[in-house]
Amino acid sequence: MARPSNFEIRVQAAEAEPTLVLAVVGELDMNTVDLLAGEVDQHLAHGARSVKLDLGELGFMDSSGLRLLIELYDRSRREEWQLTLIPPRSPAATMVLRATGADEALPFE
Amino acid sequence: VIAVGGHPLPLHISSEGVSRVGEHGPLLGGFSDVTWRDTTVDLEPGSILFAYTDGVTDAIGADGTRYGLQRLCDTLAGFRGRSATEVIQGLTVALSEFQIGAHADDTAALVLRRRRRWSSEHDEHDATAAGDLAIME
Repeated sequence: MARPSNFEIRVQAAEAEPTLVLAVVGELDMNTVDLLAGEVDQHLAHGARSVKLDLGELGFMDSSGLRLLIELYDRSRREEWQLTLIPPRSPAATMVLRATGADEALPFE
Repeated sequence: VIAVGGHPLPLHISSEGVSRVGEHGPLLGGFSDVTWRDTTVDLEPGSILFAYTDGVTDAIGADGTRYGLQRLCDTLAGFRGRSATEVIQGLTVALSEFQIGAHADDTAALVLRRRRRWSSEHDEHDATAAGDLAIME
């Protein structure tokens, strides 16, 4: 496998709060995407009904990261929970979203 | 005529260098109610249209850096005049030498090359077809 990316997920709100906020830091790629998917799964399994992914400190995202965001959005509509996204500030991650139309199609604030 | 469905913009490799062509368009199959814009690209004899997925430029090297667009353009510039198959083979070697471990997710490329005129002394064997195509996946 390629070298693990610098990656971190910070939980910024307790599950008792109306909206769970997960700050995604570092590089969201094939090496880290399962970590984020697992984290979201875990909170949904414990009853979270509103999840906000803060991508502000996301430095890089590849197509596997984009695929996860699309899957989460589809799943949120299917399972009737709310997904909100805070856009990344880094040019590299922003470019992926703009080049694919995801910046307009996904539920960014 | 090309339309880009969420992939990086294709590269046009000619005697004048390597340049991006087309316009970004939404991910194919990802979203509803989206449209794409056509772009006409003139491929002069001997030039190449190179389409690729992000796995090519996202490959990670030993120092942790990505292969990136500039490195890809520099690599492809060295393949001018080569056949489509040779371009794919050359890029495959370049990527393998650069990256550590397994290929990045979603690594694919397509090379379409317009052949030279039949009178070209370097390309007489190409006279029976207008172009050649090679795919890496």
